[in-house]
Amino acid sequence: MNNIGFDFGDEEFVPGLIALVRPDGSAQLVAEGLAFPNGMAVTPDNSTLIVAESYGGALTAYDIAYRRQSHRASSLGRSGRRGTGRHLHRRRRCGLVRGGAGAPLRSGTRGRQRCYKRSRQNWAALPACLGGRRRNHLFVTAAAWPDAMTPGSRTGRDPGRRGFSPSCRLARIAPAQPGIRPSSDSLSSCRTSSTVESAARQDQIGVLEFLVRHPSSAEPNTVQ
Amino acid sequence: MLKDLALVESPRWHDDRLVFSDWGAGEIIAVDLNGQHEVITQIDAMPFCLDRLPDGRLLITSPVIRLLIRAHDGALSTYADLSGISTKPWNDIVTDGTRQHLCEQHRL
Repeated sequence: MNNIGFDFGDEEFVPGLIALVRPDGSAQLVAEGLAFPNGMAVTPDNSTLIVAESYGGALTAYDIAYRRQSHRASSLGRSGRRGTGRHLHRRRRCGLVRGGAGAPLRSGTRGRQRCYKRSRQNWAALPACLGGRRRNHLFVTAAAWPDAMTPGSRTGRDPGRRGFSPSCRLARIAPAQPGIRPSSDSLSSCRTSSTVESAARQDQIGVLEFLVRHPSSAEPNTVQ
Repeated sequence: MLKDLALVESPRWHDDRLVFSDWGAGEIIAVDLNGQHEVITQIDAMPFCLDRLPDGRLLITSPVIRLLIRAHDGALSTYADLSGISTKPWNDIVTDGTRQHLCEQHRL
């Protein structure tokens, strides 16, 4: 479990931490000094914990057995502008995906990245994961950005939702099959079915994590 | 698949459905590939993230200093007290062992 270390929106930034909770419910501090720890994933062999540091613009890997930081930033895809992000986000697992509003989602590992989808302008991808019986469907949350994180910023907001506007959508990107298209228009213009298929294959290798960045620090919308 | 959600976090695939938290609505929702969905737990706190134990039970990081576990009958109880480590909001959670189980199940 991770803890960002401060009350978001009410307090100044303080580095966060990671705790380990064992099956008997005992908890132990295992890592400190993370810049807004966010989405996490464990590799399929249970050897490595990967943490997205949203304010650090980095994915950081820890060796679980020895509780030591094994890789940081450059080897796992650093997003740059360390420490400047104010709404850097998220998240989650089974493939490295980065992109802000209007920027591409990408999957890949250690320098090999593949762009396979471009989000509509002003829509940002938030957490995502793979699922389906063969785990080759990609589920992506998309939100109008940055309104989704700013309660009261849009008209028509629902007071029953703590001031958040109902602006979030869940999309499914199906595996490559003729005639199957993304089931939501919140993400548009899937590049090609073959790249989605490749992304699913990469998940079978297994390493990865999603990280989505604020558009102010987005890289050019080019395929790497 | 779904529109008009407030703020979605922690999507996890489990038992032929996608389970996720909607922080704005204070709900944990499960949806299948056809879009059929239901609220499986309501949480009166923010933030709250989730993951599964290998036996399928849901762990929820809420409210703030406790880790909750949802039994198969839906009842919530405390799994761990985290106040000795931090009293600030707990964010994401990931369990190990589950991915390995999934890989074996799906022969990945």
